[in-house]
Amino acid sequence: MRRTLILTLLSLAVSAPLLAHQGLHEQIAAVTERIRHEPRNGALYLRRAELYRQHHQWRLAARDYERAHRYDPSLEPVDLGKGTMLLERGRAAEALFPLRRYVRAEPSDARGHLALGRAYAALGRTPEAVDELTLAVRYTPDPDPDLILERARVLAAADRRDEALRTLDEVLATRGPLIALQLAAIDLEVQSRDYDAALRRIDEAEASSPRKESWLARRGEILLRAGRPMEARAAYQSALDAIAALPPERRSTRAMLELQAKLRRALEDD
Amino acid sequence: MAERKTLANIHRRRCARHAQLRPLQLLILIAALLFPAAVRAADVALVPGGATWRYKDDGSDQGTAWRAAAFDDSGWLSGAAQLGYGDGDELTVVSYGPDPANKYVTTYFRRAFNVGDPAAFTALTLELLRDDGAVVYLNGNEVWRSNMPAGAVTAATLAAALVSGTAESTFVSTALDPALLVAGTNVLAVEIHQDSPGSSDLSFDLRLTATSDAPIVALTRAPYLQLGTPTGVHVRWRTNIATDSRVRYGSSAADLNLVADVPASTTEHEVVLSGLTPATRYYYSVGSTTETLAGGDAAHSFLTAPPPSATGPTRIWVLGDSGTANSDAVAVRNAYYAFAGSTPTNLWLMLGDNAYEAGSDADYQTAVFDMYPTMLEQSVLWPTIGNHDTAQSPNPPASLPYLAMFSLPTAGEAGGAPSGTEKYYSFDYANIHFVCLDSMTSDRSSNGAMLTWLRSDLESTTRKWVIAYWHHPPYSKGSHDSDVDTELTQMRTNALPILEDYGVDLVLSGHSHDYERSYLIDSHYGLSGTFISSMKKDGGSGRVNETGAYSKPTAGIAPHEGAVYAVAGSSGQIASGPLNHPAMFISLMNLGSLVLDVDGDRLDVKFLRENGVVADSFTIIKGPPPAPSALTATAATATSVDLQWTDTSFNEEGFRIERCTGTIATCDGNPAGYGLVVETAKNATTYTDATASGATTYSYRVRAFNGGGASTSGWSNTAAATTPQACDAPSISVQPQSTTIAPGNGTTLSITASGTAPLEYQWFRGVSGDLSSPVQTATFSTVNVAPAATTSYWVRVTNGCGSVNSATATVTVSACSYNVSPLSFSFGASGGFGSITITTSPSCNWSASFPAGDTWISLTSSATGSGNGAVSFSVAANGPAPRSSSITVAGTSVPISQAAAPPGTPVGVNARATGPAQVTITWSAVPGASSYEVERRAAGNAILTRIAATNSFVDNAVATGTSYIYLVRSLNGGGPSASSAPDLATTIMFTDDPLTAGKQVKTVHMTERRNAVNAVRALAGLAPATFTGTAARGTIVTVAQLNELRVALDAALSILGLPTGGYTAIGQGQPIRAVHFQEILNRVK
Repeated sequence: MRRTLILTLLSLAVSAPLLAHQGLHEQIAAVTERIRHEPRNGALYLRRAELYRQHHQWRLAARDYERAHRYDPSLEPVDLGKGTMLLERGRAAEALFPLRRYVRAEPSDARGHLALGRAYAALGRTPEAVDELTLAVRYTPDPDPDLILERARVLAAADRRDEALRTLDEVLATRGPLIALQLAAIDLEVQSRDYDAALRRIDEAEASSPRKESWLARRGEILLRAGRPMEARAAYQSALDAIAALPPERRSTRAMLELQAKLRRALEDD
Repeated sequence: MAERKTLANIHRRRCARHAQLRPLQLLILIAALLFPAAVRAADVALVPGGATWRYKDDGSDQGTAWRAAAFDDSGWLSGAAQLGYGDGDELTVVSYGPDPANKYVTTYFRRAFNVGDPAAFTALTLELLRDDGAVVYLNGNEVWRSNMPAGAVTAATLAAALVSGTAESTFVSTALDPALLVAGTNVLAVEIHQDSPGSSDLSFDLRLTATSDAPIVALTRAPYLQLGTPTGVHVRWRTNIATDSRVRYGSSAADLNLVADVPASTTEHEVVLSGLTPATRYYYSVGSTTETLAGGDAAHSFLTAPPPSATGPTRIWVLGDSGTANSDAVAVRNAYYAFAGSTPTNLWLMLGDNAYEAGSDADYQTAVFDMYPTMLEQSVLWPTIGNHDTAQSPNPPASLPYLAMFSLPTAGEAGGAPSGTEKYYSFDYANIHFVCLDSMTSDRSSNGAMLTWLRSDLESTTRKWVIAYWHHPPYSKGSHDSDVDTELTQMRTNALPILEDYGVDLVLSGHSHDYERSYLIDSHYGLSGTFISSMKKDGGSGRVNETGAYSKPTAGIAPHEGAVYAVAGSSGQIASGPLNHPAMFISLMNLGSLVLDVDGDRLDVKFLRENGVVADSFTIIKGPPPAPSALTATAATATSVDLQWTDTSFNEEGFRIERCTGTIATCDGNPAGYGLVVETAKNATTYTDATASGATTYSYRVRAFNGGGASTSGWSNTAAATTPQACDAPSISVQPQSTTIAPGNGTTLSITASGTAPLEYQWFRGVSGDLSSPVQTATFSTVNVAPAATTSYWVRVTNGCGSVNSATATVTVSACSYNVSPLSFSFGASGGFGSITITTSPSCNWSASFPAGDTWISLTSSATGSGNGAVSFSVAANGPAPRSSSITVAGTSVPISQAAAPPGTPVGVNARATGPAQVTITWSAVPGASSYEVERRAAGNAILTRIAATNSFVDNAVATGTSYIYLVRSLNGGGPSASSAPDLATTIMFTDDPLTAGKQVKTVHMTERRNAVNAVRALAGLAPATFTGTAARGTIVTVAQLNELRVALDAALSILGLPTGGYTAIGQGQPIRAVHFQEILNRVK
């Protein structure tokens, strides 16, 4: 890790003054010019490969990854780049090899595990995907909700909803009521038919939320799915009442109008 | 806010420069990280030059108590060194008292400083700038005196000598024993003495430097502020060596009496200050528990955020793509500093690409920490991630420098819903809710974590304003195209519907290296070609003094009332693009930054160029407009009331005026009595209500509105007016008529008017409306006028309701007319007298004249006159020719003609028969005769006239054997002359054997004679004479017979008036000769 950090810093130190403050094309051109003077600098090829990849110039990116590896086999990020590129191109199976090699070389780099996990997920190899995403989360000091959700989705796809829920709850417990995680957790509980748990979660969220109507509407949906139509209707009605109690400017958002319409339809259907 | 070159700053820079992260230095830093023992000892500025001191400059004698460390100097003044007066180089000017000739001798100074471990110091150096003399005390003990006399020193003690010239700005130094220091708070007390009360100046500064062999901690990243709230802030800095972290802070730079510590040893220091008072300025210093590395001066201070309810002004500085660290970025920065002046920047935003090329720590050191140290240490920075901040990677490592160096909310610490990540977050400042999104690395899908959080966050906010920002602009045609680039497109299609549904006001982005600013728009989520006019909520400029501010009717957050989108990615560089997005009001290829000022319901945005020019500006005003004020109502007429008010708003669409019949008290007690009068256009400040009735009290109120009337201000004050009794203003039904008069005459002008009585009339000379020439005493509806020349008149009719002017009537005085009679004269040849009568107006003058050459005319009366009169003249007798002339009287030409005098009487008339039926008459021509008239008399007084052109006439209309009398008259224009003497002619033809002398008278001769005589006698009306004897042949004519002829003839001649007698005498018996018969013949011819 330290070596990687140092090498990364070195590469940045070399490249930083060389590259003007330009867009991708200009940066590619600047690196190309530098390569002309240093045709065996693997770090430069790696840099350009990444730029090509960002620009979806796969062939050129692949070529530069190869050159980077050829001129500096110790540049582990080449494998990460290659694997990521192959994954982006939908060639998940081909991405496995370089990504595995990368995670072996840099086991604490969450990006490698994340890319490898996505590759496994794309190949339907869910357990392995879960493992890699779990490592990605572990090696990310403060994993983004996106990463947490991605892992939870993969876990759920692997029919490991309980584990997904635990993951979500762990994060919610430490980082507070992150709405995306709350909603994902509720969805998992509903999928698991653990309606009571979902309802409890909704009640907790609704109690602490300044806005109630969406929670009440979701509560109604869950109650309906739980075979509790009367309570569902009551929840729908409470949601409508909550909307009605909003100030006009809050009530008239498209989201609220759509929710109102949806609630009314739900009450009519029932 | 320039980067002040104070000694403290220089010292900080010296520390910071130790690890300036250019590439080479980066390697050195790397080496330092690998080999930390390389850094050695150095001086520690316990009290730096330019520090802030407490001082007493009132001329008082402080005695000795003031020297003690524990002395309470909280009541003293405070200021940064250099302190003094008179040299012009003082940062703080102290007082010398009211009398410049008798200045205070002694001024006192104190400063506290902290020392962690005095035992670590091996040397202590005191450097003093003093003018003139000084005594220095450390912790109550005198440690040094400079330029002061020995012995006891009082407030009146003068310095030993004058300090002047370069010595005024030169530090003198001495070494002190480090043992004089105590652990903790130490106090320096210094008294400066003048060398004389009349001294011109005073100077003081002091440096206290300790030397230590221990490794010296230095700042490698100056303090910067993060995550500010009304009650807290994060203070961060970096050092070269790991130490614990301490922030001292307080309400005064000289009294940092509060402390916040983080015991853990680190080089990346972060101390959270909490429990602060909102909207309060705090001063601070950073360092460790053993030393202070920076701060303790005015530069290191911050203003906490105001409480949530605050609506006062908030200044926000926004930079986009500023990370070039070049002269362009410097120019943009300096332009803002100059613009801001002393106005504090409450917070500032960076819109991404904050540090080129790759957002490394070194890049950030250069482009951010070295570029904006002053702003960083005084104002909280809220950044967002750009593509260059992640080296273009959408999946950067967790060790991304951006995430490491910034402290951003993840759990809603600064307001808003918890996001769980620093990549996107929200915070509140006063009445503004800021939302920072991550368009680079986070999932941009509608149901992704970020946008799910966004909905929840916006649902929860109760702030008035929502300002959102992220790196990739949803609308741009600059160096990036929002129709093409994925990040831009996805933010537009996924994030904007949520933001606009929750009433976002302003969206800021960078990425395109230009400035583009939209109209107030809504609901444009497609490609630029799908932008239509109806998506403009306001298609104006948004400038108050142009088309007006953008107005959003709702005071708080309301959906789809419009937002302004600004691309401000030119804070470090510019790059070309078509700059033609249809949603944009303005697009500029200029360097610059944004300046936002939010104050209550108003948001002002300026694009400030690198040269200090404000190249664009706009204003958004939310909520109903403020109520108009100072409404007044004035009854103008019986049926109209003039209203006037003060327009206090910038965002009204118009004003609604309501009226109630009744007094203010009555109407205010019954607001339902108010009804709409009119809704005016915006910016109106007056209106006339022309629907009032007379003698009625009306109360009025006005309010502003916008949002199509849905949003209204409060009512203005109520104003009332009472209309006067209605009356009919005068009107004219019959205008005065123009007329023409003869000179010297007069006429009467009149007018017919109606209206409420009484009507007053005043006539004027001149055209209608000209009041300069009133006709005195002409105050009735009629006026008699007799102008000498053509004059116009008009009349004004007035009553209590008004007045009306008549039309102009012109009295035309005609020209003089003359009647002259007769109009012609004819005179006979004898001339005569004539008289021409003139009839005219008395004042009309006339004259008479005739051609000067016509001397046959003479005036016999005056040739001039006036009024009626006559001109007399005479015409002399005429000559033989007619003549004419004229006399002109009063301009009329009267012809005068005169006949010629008639010609003379013809003489020598000789009528003779020249044939059996022909008589030829001849006479002498008459001068001047134009013709002749021959008169023939025959028997029975038959008169026959003929005209002869010449002096002869042949009468063929005679009978044979007949006598005729002929007279001749001459003719000319003068008429006929008198008749000539008659002459007789007889148409008896005498034989052609004429009786000549010596010839015997024959019978024929006698017969002829006798017949002729009887012809004559017939002409005379006599019977034929009977003659004796016959005139037979061969008979001798006797005298008797001759006498018979003679008698018979004379008898006729006598009757005819012809001469008789005169025959040749013949006695009896005398032979009759031819002459005797010739005589008869001659008479009868």
